[in-house]
Amino acid sequence: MLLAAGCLMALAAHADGAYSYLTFTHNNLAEQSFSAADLTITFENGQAVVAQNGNKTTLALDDLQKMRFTAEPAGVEEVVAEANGPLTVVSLSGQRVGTFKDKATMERSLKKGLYVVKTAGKTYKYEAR
Amino acid sequence: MNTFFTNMTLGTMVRRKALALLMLFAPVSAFVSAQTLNVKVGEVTYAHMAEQTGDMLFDNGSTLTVQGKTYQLAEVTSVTVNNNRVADNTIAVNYQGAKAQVTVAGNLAQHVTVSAVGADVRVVADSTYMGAIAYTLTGSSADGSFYMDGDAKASITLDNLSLTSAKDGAITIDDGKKIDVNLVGTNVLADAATGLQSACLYINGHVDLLGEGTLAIKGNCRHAYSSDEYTRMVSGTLTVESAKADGVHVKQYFEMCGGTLTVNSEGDGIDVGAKKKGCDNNGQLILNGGVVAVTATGEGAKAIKADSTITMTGGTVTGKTTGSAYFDATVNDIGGVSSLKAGGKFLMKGGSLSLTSTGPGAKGINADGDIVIDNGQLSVVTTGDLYVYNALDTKPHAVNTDGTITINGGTLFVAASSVGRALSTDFAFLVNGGTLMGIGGKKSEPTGGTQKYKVYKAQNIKAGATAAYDGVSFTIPAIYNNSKAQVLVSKAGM
Repeated sequence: MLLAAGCLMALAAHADGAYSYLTFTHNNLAEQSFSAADLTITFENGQAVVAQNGNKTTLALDDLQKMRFTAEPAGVEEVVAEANGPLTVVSLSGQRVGTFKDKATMERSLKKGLYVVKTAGKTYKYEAR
Repeated sequence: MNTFFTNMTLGTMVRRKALALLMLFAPVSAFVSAQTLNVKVGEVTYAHMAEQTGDMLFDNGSTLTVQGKTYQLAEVTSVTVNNNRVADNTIAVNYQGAKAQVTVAGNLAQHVTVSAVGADVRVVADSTYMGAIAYTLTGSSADGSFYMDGDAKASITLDNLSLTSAKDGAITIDDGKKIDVNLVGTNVLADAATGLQSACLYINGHVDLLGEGTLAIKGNCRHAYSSDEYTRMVSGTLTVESAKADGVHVKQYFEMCGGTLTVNSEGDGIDVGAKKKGCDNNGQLILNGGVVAVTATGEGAKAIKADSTITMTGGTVTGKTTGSAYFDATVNDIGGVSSLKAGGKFLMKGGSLSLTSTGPGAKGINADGDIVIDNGQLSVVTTGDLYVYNALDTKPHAVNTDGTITINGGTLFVAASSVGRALSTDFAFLVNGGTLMGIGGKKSEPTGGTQKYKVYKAQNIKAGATAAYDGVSFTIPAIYNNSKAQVLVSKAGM
């Protein structure tokens, strides 16, 4: 019953347009997502500069095929053991939580909740328990 | 594990945890459910609702296409995402002094060409879009304007707008379709003293004036308000503070249904042309309700004028002229002045109409067609001298027609100056009912009708006094005196 209610809520949220992420598709079909909340994009010198919460990411315009709103970030999967290196963590509402040197540090630092974890090459969903 | 999870079975814990996760997601989903992608080009922002965008395609690193609108990235100031919802089919213009910010609903983006140069805003909708567009104009500018064209009906809401153009009309609507003008709050428009504009507020279209707000207009160049087709005033308060030409200039018909209309003009106060042959009510002025107060001051200016029939069924209307008749060299004749000029009939079926003309040769009511009074309250006063130009002259009659005059009812006080008649016609003048007092320097006498009347000669009529004859009694207006008046009275049962 609870799961059914949850499914209904999720469907309702989707029907309302839960477009939480702006996902870019590169020419090689690789996808890159940004939390949509308070996102700003400017275009200069052949590049799209994606700014959010003080962070800036530069994308080469001639490498971009399209963008679209998505309910989930592209390439999201549970954090796996090999996801090491600097880990940038943002909340689901797009607030930057922090950057951690490795997964173990991150796990010790986060309060319970769901987060998006960005590494150099991938974006993950992570649930702190 | 916190106390919430204590003493629970494993199954219960799993279900509770699932619920907790859903509760965590739900508010986030709700929070982000209303994303809007705003593409800003200069001062124009195109607001695309996330759910309508689908794939937004980049092309060759130089363009981005969203909802059919292709943006040149070199021209895009920024793209932002926020939660500000913008309703479909809307365009909002906010004037901010020397500039204006325009917000266009994403679904319209591909159908409109928008520019905002300084505070001069132009919106042109292409012919592929036939839906109604709702425009809202707000803010203030002392050097701004709004121009709109398209092929579909539209609504224009003026919401506490203060807009003065330094080089053109303040608002120009070239659309030609049904246009609703909604007044919200206090609005002020003024145009430049020079320019090619027809009016400070010009609308090529079928106009309904709506809302509960006010609009004050200064026509510093020509007309204050002009529409190429009909205009119906339904509600609201429209004040023409000044007009170099006509206060309200309409080319098909003007219908007053409600609200308050005040006009101060150098040209005609309300001028209805008959420029739409074959269209409904062409050239007519229809007074069905509301309050109208018109003062026209120019030489030859009429307070209320229509090229065809003027019909009054309700409302309260006051018309005043102060200008003189004049010699019009283009037609080699005298151009007349009157408070109310009908190119056709004048039909009064109800309401209250008060007219005053004070200039030389200025008449009260002047109709080319028949005049019929069935009901209502009518007061007409003229005080001017005879107007003479060489061998030509024109007299300041209170009511004058080239047709017949028929009074079937109503209450009428009609007073012409010492050189005019109260009621003047070369044709039939019939009194069948109503209560009438007609005063003039020259005699007015019915040619027939079913109701008796009397004429009194050489009466001394004084301003502010009560004139009473045979049970017909009126207080003489403060501006009127006539020491040798001819007085016509008639009422039921005389």
